[in-house]
Amino acid sequence: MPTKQIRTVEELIKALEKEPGTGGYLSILERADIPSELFGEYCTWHDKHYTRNCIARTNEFELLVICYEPGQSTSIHDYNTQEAWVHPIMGSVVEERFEPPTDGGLRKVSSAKLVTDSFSYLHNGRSIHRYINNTEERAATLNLYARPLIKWKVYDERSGEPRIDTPDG
Amino acid sequence: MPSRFDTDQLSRIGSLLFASAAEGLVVVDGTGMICLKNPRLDHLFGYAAEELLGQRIETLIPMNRRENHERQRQGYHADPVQRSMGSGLDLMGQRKDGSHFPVEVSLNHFEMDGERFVMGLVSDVTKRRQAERDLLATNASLEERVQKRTLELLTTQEELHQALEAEKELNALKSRFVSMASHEFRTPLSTIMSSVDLIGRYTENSPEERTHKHVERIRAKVRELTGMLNDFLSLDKLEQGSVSCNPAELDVVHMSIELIEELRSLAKPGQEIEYDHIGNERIVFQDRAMLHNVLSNLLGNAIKYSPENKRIDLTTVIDAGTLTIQVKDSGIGIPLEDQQHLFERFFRAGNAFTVQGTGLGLNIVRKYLDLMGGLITFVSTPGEGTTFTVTIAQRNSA
Repeated sequence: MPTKQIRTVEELIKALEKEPGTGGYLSILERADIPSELFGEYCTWHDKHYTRNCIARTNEFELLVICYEPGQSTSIHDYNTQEAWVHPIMGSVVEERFEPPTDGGLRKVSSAKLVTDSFSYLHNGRSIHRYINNTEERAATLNLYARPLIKWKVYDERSGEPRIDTPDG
Repeated sequence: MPSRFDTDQLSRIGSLLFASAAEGLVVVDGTGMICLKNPRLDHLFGYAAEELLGQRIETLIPMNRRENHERQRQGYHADPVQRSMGSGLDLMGQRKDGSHFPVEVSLNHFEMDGERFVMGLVSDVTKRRQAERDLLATNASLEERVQKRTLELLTTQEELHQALEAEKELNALKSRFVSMASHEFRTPLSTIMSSVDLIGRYTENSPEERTHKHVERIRAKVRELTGMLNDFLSLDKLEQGSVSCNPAELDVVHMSIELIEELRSLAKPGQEIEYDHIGNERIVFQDRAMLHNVLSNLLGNAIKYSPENKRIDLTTVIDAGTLTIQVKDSGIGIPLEDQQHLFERFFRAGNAFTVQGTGLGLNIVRKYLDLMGGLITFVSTPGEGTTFTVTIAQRNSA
C-alpha cells in the first residue's frame, strides 16, 4: 500500500506534471488522499446531464472531475487515448464495459461498482464503456487521461437490437 | 480704304437692299405719313404695291392702339433714339383685311434736306410667338406633370411611411407575442418535464415497460417543443439586434464532447457519433453560447436527418488561427434545388417535411456566425449525406 503523501489538488497536479516514473500515473493517484470537499471548486452539476470539469491539462495528461446527479450516466463510448484511470471521489458509479461492435451489435462484457477506493484502468483499443450513477446520491469521479482526450466515439446501446415503436405501444 | 463704289452705284445697291430685304421696311415723315416702304412690308400687311404710300402709319396699327401709337410716335419724333420698339410689349400689326398679327419693330431716324424721317424695320413674329406660346404651354404642362408626380410621390411616400410604421408595429406585436408565448409555454413545459423525470425515476425499475416507453415519448416531445420555443426566442432576439458577441476562452474539445453527450439521447438506434480534434491547440476565444448553439444545431440536424445505423462525424481543427468545425452525416441529403434556400428562415427542404423542424435552426446558425465573423458552407448529395463546414477565427477580435 503506497504511502498517502498527496493531500491537496495542487500537490496532485504537481506530482502529475513531473515524469510519472516507474510506477506510472497510477502510483501517483494511489498516493493521493484528498478530501472530496477540496474538489468542490471544480464540481458543477446539471439536472439534465452529467458534467465534465477540467482541473488541469498539459501536453501529457488531462485531469477532470466528472459529476453525476442520481440516475445520470455517460454514453457508451471510447476515446482512443493511450491510457485512462477513473477513481470515484464521491459516491459510487457502475462501470460497464462492452465488446467492440460486430454484426451482432454491442455486447456487455462486465459490470462493476466503483467506490472511493477503486481505480479503474482503461487502455487504448478495448475501452468501450460507460459510467452510471444508479444511486440516490450524487457521485463524482476523478478521471486522468494520458494523453489528453482529442477523440470521442459514442455507440448506441441499441445497436443491432430491432426496435419497434407503436403509437399506443 | 475708300469705297470701291461711286455714289450712283451705292444708290443702286441701297435700292436693291431695300427692295429685297426679308423684313418690312418703312419710312414715315414727321406727320406719320408713309413716304417709303419695301415690297416685303406690302406683303406682310396684304397691300398692293402703291397702296400704302401716303397713308398714315397708324393704318398698320390695330384700331384700339392707334391713338396711343400716335402719341408715342410724336414723342419719338421730337426726341428720336435708335431703339427696338415694344421690347417686352405685345406689339400687333393690322393687315388690310383687318386681321392682326404680332410684330417686332426697330426704329431709327434720319434727316434729309432739313426734314426728320423715322425708319422702321418690321418683322412678323407670328411663328416665334407661337413657338413661345407652345414652349410656355409645354413648360406649363411639364410643370403640371412634375407637380402631379411630386404629389403622387409624396402620397406614395406617405403611404409607404404608414405601411412601414404598420409593419414595424406588427413586427413589434409579433415579436412581443412570440417572446411572451415562448416564455409562457416554456414554464409549463419545464414543469411537465420535471414531473415526467420524477415519474420516470419512480418507474425506472418497474416491469411496466409501456409506462417507461410513454414517459420517454413525453420527454422527447417536450424536448422538441422546448427546442422550437428556444429557436423562436433566439431568432426574435437576433432580429431585434439585442444579441451581442461576448467572447471568452473555451476548450473546444470539452465543448464538443459535452455536446455529444447531451445530444446522444436523440440518436436513433445504431447511430454512432465519432469526434476527432486535430491540432495542438484546443482553446478558442469565442462566444460560448453562440458556438454551442451552432454546434448543437449542426449535430442535431445530422442526427435528425440520418437514418438508423449510420455514423456521424464531428471534427474540429485548429490551425493557423482558424477553428474549423465539420459535421458529416450519411443522411437524406439536400435536394439541389433547395440548397440555395437552406439558410432562409422557415425554409424546409422538399425531402424533410416528414421530419420535425421549424426551419429556423440554420438561419439562426448563420446569424450567430455573422455576429462571430464566421462562415458556413456545405456539400450535400441527395441520398448520400451532407457535410457542413464552419470556419471561424480562433480568437474573436470583436
